Amino acid sequence: MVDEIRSAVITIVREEGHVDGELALDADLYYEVGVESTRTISILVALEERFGITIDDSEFVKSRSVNSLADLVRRGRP
Amino acid sequence: MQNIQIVLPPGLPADVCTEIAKRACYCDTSIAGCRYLKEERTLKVGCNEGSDIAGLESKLQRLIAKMKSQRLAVQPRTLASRAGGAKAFAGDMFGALCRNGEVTKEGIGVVARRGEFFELLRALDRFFERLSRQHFLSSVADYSVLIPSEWLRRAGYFASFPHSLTFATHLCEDYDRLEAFAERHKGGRALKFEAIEELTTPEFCLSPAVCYHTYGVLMGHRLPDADQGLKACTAVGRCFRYESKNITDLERLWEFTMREIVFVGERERVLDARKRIMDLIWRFVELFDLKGEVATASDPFFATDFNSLRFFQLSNELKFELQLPVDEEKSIACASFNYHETFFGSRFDIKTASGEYAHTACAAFGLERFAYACLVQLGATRTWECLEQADREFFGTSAGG
Repeated sequence: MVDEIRSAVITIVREEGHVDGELALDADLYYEVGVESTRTISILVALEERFGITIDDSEFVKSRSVNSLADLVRRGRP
Repeated sequence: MQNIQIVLPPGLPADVCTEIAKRACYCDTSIAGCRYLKEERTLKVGCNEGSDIAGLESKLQRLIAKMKSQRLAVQPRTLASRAGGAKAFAGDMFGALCRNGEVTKEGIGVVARRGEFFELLRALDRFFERLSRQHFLSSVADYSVLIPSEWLRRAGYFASFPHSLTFATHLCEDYDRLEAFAERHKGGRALKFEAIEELTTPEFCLSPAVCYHTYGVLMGHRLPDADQGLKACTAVGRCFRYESKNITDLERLWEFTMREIVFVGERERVLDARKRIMDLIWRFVELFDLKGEVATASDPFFATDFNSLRFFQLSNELKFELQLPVDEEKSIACASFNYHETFFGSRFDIKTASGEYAHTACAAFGLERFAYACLVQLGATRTWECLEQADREFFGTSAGG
């Protein structure tokens, strides 16, 4: 299940964050992967819609890699 | 004059409503001004007689829809505030400066500075420059008011701040067009263009901020080990941000003077430098006994990216502003303290000695606003006394010593 969540997070980050190249699971999305800050809300909203959860804003901004976003989603699921 | 009133959606943070009001002026040339009425949660837009009201309303509604924040929980956070010693604000300071001949309005948002007001701007600037050199060992630079359009493109300025741009262009090298242009203007006739093709695509813009020059100059560089993880640069320059109908005398000019201190290097060192300059400036505010506050803020992004960038900046506390009130209801941002993570480092290929993209931060001081807020709160005599006191406390000597 965890891997399923991580795969979905990767798909969302790639699509909403416009990431074409390498996407290391622990890399900082904004200053290592190069996701534009203009894409932040799109990623957040897509995660909420995909998993049917509400993500706390302050937790979201601290979760800056694929792995930490996957952890965040896992904690938010019932 | 006709008025349009639009009630804003419930629950919008106050800073978003204010930004919507500012951005509304850019929606159409027939808009003469716009105010946000807080009590009524309403946008009041004044427009010229005969305006296409339905068309205007449609544009304004699209603007509001774009700027409506999806994440309302994120609001500006106040770090420090103080009541200050001023009993009252001086009324009509701009009028007084104009009557004294210290400020002359050359056009909308463009002024000449002379006499004691000009001296005050210079003294304030000397203070910030000295602070930068003594506390951060900054190198000093002098940049052009023209900035390559390519540098602003790299910085993402065209996409995020299209409404603020001022272009530097010239007539195309074309004998026939030049002759036709000269003919059209004989006899002192008013400036007129017949086609946009008469002008070149601007290779340069007028600088909207000083720090972009620093990133441009450092482009492709790797900081030497000798910098020990932090390089500081300072410069002062004339900056240009088109403010449409939001232009308000010295509070919001089209052309203004900005002193910046730019920090480039490793994350912890850059963040520490930003914290230190904020502490120093807050001490300066205390010494002057000014009323004001430091709070998180977001840049005046255009509608398209406003939502996401406001969320990102506020949540990550990337931007702090020093707000100084100029009357009972209004404050102006006189300084900002910005951290950009590796945004500029990666866009301009600036690396640390270890080969990673450099983190950057900057402190920016709007000199006309700073001087104006001091004059409104303290008056000229007290402002000069405070500056001398600040020179003694910060540097142990008087100005220029």
